[in-house]
Amino acid sequence: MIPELGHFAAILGLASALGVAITAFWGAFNAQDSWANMAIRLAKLQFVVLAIAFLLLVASFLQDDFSVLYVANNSNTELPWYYKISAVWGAHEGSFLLWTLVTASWTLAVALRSKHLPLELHSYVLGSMGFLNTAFLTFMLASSNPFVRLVPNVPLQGADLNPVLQDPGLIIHPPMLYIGYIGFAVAFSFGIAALCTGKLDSAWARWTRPWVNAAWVFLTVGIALGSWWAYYELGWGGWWFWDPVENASFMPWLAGTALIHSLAATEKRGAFKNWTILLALLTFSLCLIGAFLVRSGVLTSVHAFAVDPQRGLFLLGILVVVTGGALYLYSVRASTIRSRIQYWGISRELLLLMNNALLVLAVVTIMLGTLYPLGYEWFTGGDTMSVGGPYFNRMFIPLMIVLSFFLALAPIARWKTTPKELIMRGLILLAGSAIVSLILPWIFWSSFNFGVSCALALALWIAITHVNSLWKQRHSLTMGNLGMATAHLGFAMAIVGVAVTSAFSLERDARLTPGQSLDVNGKTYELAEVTRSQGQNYIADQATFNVDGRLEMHPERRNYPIRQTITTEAAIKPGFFKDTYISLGEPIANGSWGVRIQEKPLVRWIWLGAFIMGAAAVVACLDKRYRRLSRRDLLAHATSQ
Amino acid sequence: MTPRQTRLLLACPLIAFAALSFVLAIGFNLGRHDIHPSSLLGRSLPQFELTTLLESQSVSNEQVIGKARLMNIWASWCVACRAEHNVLKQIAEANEISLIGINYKDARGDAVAWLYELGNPFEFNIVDANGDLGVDLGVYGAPETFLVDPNGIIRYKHVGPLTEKDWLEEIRPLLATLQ
Repeated sequence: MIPELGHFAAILGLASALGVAITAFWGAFNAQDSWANMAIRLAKLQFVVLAIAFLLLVASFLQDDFSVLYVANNSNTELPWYYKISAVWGAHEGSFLLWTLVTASWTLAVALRSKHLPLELHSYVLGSMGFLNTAFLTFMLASSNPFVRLVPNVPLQGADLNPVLQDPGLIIHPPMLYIGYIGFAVAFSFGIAALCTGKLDSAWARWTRPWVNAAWVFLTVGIALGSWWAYYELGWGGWWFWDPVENASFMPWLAGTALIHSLAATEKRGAFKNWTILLALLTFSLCLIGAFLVRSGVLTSVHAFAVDPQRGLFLLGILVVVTGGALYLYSVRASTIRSRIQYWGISRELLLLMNNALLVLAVVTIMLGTLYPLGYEWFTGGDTMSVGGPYFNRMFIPLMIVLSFFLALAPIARWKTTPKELIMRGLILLAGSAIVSLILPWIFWSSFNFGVSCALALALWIAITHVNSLWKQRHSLTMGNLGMATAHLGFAMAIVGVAVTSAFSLERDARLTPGQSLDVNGKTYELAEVTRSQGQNYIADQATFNVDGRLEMHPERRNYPIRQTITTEAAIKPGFFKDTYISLGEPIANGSWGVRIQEKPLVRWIWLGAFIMGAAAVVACLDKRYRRLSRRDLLAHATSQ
Repeated sequence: MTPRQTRLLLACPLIAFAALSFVLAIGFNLGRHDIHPSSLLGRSLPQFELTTLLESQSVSNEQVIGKARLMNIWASWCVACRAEHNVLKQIAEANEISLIGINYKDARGDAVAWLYELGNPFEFNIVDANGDLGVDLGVYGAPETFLVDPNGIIRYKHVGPLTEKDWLEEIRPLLATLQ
């Protein structure tokens, strides 16, 4: 009964999503309040019924109802209750139900938070959101229904959740990503609304910016969590693999970052209007492309969901309709939106333009690297190849170095044009940072690496220019500027983390029998013993390491019998300046074990930097000018072209 | 810029996206080849020397050749196999083709208990405990089903649970052409 009710609620969700689309667009065409109000009510209904559908699927999982195919394939009576809940989004069907619920939540947020926007704009945004969820729900109900029953032969036991997904990090990583992805659907819808109404002014940009920031926060935190999870769960100490699915989440992040910056120029100076709309459309399209890549089986990856040809074709259809339709609208309507501004030399406009150019170039680079194997397979008639980390690193790192250079100038530069003395002073600071950065690695890691010095110099420079400007504004600081500076400081922190941990990590592989020890970087790691223990749904071999006789660390190898999978649970001693990372490998003959010991300096700075960026975007959202919806804005928007 | 040039410029994203969709569509088709490796179709059954599940007798590809067979990869740990089992029983009852099971990466006791519980539509079951035969057949996971003609040539491959529709609309007509 519960799955049937859930199925029914999902169908109601589809009906209300379609209702939102129709009433909102109708309201927009005819400028009628009553239709627009109807759309708001339907958006509320859509959220409620989809939340019910989702909770009913959760209930099926908690009750171990293996008559539901999706539950039988992804759960097990032995699974702890919290993983039964997270198993709801552990595979394709359930995660897509979550996806539609997230879409409904954003739609609801737009319906409630933007009521005071001009009727036409608000209705177009809502209509576009309703249309998107109509497409998603049709897809889910037609080809990925999580409520399908497995009768009459109901299995007594389920196939268990994939063990690598049995981890607290994985409980929140996917929802965060989805909230981020679909948050950009709001920006997309604002873009569509601007194209339909032909009105794009600074008021429009001011209304759009908080939504973009909010989506970006979730995507940033989601990606950082994923990277962190890979670091401690996959057991190799890697934190980024340029895996196609990671790329699928990273491309919208880069485009979204570009969008945040181009919106700033559009709001403050009326610049780059067409470009801003295009970015809003592209960012969400990249999210959809990501969903297609992950869920269609086009690319093989650790993350990829089950392969089903019908699904892939359907998703490709959604992508073509949504993105193709939006870009067609763009090609027809964008010429009605004009921006005429002038700027000279090093100005904020130029820096923002450079930011956008570099980020979009990064997106294109990653897209090429991700899709190149497909093209190769096609041209050679079946040969496969993979573009690995080296390509991405070689292309991506130089772009980020140039980006950091322009980023450091951000607080120095002014709109329109910047006095030469200011820039000269900035460049002198860079020279100072460079000299310090040549010395610092010697002091901390007693070695030299050109890349690290480069990153340190730029990060230091970014820190100096931004802290300096914060100090100067200390009496008149707006939340917007505070957020901007903090985000840039977080970025600086992340690039230092990336550079140092990539260059100065130590790694030793050894074969140890209990009682033996290994010296790494002046520390003694003694393997004391390996014991076997029983977890709730796995058997573990747990090693005990004595580090310098003071600290005990316990790496594990877990065997999940139901899925016949082995996972490595690394032992990590986290530190602000250095992580110690021990993973237990294969048992080798006569009682010895393969062991990998790693020291990873500043690895935490990567995620810390990302979380600071996320927090900074929240701060920026709190700026007063987003809270006040001034009469002047509404008037200006009403008369603008 | 003339209006014409502007319009052309603004259409660039659309054109780029069309190209991208094309690449994705190609990739998607390649992905499908992966699941239905055409390389195996038309090839002979790989050679093997294994034992049967219930009788514990040795069995090789020689015993399979001679008549048309429907070979089904299954395992007691495979939930989808349970779902497709009724379909296999119906096919066996129709008595139009001989079914052979390949018990894939399974514990013997569990596999035997499974057949007693759900019934045994197979003429015999080949034990592929290590999955070696599965690798030679290019198996992605259980269940998968192969149609092998009397000469031991693989004619058809189905990934995932077999449905009545697959049997009626694809396998049965193909079988008719073999006889």
